Amino acid sequence: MDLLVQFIIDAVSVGGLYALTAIGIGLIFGVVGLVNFAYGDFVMIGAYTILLTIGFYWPVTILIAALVLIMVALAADFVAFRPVRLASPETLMIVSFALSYTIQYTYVMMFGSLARTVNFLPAMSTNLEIMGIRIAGVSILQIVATIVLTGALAAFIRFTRIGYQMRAVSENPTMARLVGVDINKVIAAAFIASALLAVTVSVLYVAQTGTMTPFLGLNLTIIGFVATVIGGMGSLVGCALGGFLVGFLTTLLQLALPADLQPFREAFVFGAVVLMLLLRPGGLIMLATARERI
Amino acid sequence: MSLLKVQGLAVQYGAVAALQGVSINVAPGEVVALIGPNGAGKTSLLSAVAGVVRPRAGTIGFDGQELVGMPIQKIVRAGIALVPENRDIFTKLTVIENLLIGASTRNDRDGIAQDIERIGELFPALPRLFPRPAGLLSGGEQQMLAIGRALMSRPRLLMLDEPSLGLAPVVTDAVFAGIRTLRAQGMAILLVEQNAVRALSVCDRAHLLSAGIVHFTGTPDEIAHAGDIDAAYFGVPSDVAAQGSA
Repeated sequence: MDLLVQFIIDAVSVGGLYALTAIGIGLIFGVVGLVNFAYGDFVMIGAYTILLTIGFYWPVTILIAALVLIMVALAADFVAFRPVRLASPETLMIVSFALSYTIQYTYVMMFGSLARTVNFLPAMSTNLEIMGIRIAGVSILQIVATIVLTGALAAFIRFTRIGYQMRAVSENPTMARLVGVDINKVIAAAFIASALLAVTVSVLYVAQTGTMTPFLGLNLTIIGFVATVIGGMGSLVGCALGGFLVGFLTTLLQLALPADLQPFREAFVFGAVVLMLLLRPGGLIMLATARERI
Repeated sequence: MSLLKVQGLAVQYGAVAALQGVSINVAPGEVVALIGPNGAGKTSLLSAVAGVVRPRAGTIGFDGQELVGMPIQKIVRAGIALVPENRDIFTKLTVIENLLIGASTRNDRDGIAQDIERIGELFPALPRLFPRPAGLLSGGEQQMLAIGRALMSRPRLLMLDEPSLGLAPVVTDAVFAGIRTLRAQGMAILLVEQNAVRALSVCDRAHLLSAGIVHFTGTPDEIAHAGDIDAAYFGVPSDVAAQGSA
C-alpha cells in the first residue's frame, strides 16, 4: 500500500513536470502553429540564470529567471519567428531548430559543456513524513505548481480578453485580424505565458536534480513534444494528460525494469508511445478536441 | 462625396486575373450591391478593400485615406468591417465572446455593452444564445452573429459577402430585415449577392460584375428594365427582378 502511494506520488510529480513542459509547447503550437524545439532551451536558460543568481534570496532568483525568460521568449519571437510568420510549418520548425542550436552552443561557449551543480531550495530536497510515507518536498512542489499553473492558464484563456483572442487566433488567424485583433500582441502574450511555464520547469528541475548542462533542454523538448502528440496535438488538456502519461510510464519502468535495462528506459518509454500512436493515431483525446488547438 | 472610392482596381491570383480595373463608389449611408455570376470577382473586391488581398493595381480611398498597403487591423480601425462569405464565426468561442471579439479595436466598456444590446434588438434571435458555443448555431443564426460581430467595431462601411448563401428563404428574410434596419439607420453597406433579386430589393445602386469587369451600373429600377442583362447574367426573367425591387 505504502509502495503504491509512493509510486503514485512519484508518477504524478514527474508527470507534472512533463505536463508543464508539454503545455508550454502546446500553447505556442496552438496559437502560432509553431512547434518550438527551442522550448527546452528556454528551460535551460532559466536553469543557468538560477545558477548565476543563486546568491540572492530565492524569490528574487526566481523573479530574475522569470524576467530573463520572458525577454528571451519575446526576443525569440521577434527575431526568429515573426519574420517567417506566414511560412509553412516545416520552415517554422527548422527555424526553431536553428534557434535551439544557437542557444545551446552560445551557452557551451559561455559555461562549457560540463555539468554545473547548484544547491537551490535545499529545503525542498528534504523528505517529509506524511502518515508514514516519505515524500520529497520537491514532489509536493511539483504537484502543487502543476495544478496551480494549469488552472491559472486555463482561467486566463477562458475568461480574459486576451484569452478569447488567443482562442480566436488559434481557430482562424485571418478572421481574427479581420475583426481587429492585434495578432502580434496575442502571440507575444502566448510567448510570455510559455516563458512562465518554462521558468517553473527550470525551478523544479534545478531543485530536483541540482545539476545542469547546456544540453538539458533537448530531452525535455522531446518528452514535451511526445506528450503533446500523445495528448492529441494542441489541446491543452491533452498536453497535460500526455505529460502525466509519459511521467507515469517513466516512473513505472524505473520500478519495473531490471537494473541491466535501466539505462535504456527511454527506449521503452518511446516504444510504448509508438505503440499507442499506432492504436490511436490522432492522440488520446482526439475526438473531443480534433480541431481545437488550445 | 464618396465614403469608399475604388479606382482601377486589379487583383491577380497567379496567372488568373480576378479583377481587371474596377471602379466603384459608395457614398455615406448608401447601400451598393455587387451582383454577378460565380467567379466574377465580387469576393476579390471585398478582400482587397479589407486588406486581405493586395491588389496588383489601383487605389482604394476611404474617407480620404488610401487603404492599399495598410495593415488589416488599421483598416478595421479606419471603419471598415467585413462579413466573409462563409461567415467564419469562431466556433469554439461562445456567441457573446464572438461579439466581444468584434470590439477588439475598442476600449469603451459602456459603448460595447450598449452595442451588444443594440445587436440583440437588430437580431432578436441572438440574445438567448449568448452563452452557447457559436459552433452549435444554425446557419442563419451564424450569419446574424457574423453581422453582429462586424458591427461591434462600429464600422462606417459594412461589407457583406453573400449573406443569403445556404440559408432557407424564411431565414434569409430575417437576415435581410436586419440589413434593411441598418440601412434605415444610415449605415453604408457594400453588399455582394448572387441572389440578384434579394440584392436589388435593398440597394440604392448596383454594379453588375462579370469576369472581373463592371458591365453595368444603375439603380434597381434601371437594372430591372435592362432585361437583356438579367437574362445574360442571371437567367432571371426581368419581371422577377422588377418585383424584387418593388
